[in-house]
Amino acid sequence: MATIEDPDAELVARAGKGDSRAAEALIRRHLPMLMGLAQRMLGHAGEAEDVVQESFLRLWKQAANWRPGGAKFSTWLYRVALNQCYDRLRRKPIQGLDAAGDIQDSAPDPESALVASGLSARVTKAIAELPVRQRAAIVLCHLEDCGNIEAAEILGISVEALESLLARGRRALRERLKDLKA
Amino acid sequence: MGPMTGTSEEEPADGDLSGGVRDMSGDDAALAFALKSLPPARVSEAFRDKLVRDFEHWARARSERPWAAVRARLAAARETLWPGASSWPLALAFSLSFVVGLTAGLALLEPPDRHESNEPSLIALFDSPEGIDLRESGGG
Repeated sequence: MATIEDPDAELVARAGKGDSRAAEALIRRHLPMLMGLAQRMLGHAGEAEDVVQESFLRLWKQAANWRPGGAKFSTWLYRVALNQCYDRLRRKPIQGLDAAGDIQDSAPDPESALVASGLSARVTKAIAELPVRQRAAIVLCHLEDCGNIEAAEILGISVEALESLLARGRRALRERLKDLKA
Repeated sequence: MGPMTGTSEEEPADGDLSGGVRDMSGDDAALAFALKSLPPARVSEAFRDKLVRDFEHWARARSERPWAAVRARLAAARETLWPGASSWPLALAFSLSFVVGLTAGLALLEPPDRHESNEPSLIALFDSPEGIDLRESGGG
């Protein structure tokens, strides 16, 4: 029996039996965060889409055999995506940060959008220059709103180790962005 | 933007292990503001549709595989008998009831044991030691 209430458990079970509505619901629920994680880690929208697509394919293959009771399904899914990002970063340097300057259409006015775009490009570049594990910790905890416990599970480390990564990542970011305060 | 090559951990000499729990300073607030300035990742409808098509393709391919139909029927039967249960309790229950039923059936069909009869069996007669007359031992 399940020890952790997993909000995805029913959808995963149905998707494992071939229910496309359940699959769509899982995609709707997890796609934004998976895409955010992959884009921030890889800095390349095309590569990020490949990672997300592969993660979902693994999800479907795993769904039929998934047994609730251990970690949450979302934790497993994000870990799969993150490991693929690690693999891609290890294999070759990824050129270009084409998602760096993306800005939402809901920006209040062109001037604010320009300022925000410049700022977000600087921040994106600073994040991209972090060591990979620090980058993953910062992205999960500060950009994807993961709790420390879930982020530590996704990274496969203890909460203390995560806090250490976060502290070092924040310090490195502060160093790189110190001129923004002025 | 330059290439992203940062795959190695660069440990600072003065590793701060308590940063995750300290109070927000001015620097932290500025950093939090900067991080909040990042827009969420964009997800196109076309990509979402592609993922759904991937699923449909996977589901179709799976259903065409040998044994898939049998497994699907077994799964449906399992859901009917015991919704939400794993396979192993059902398999265990079925196996136990099969063994109990088989044992009971065999016990019922087995002929009564002749050794429990009061009459001496032929084997007992032939096995009697020499010099003992069974007719005399009866007291006649």
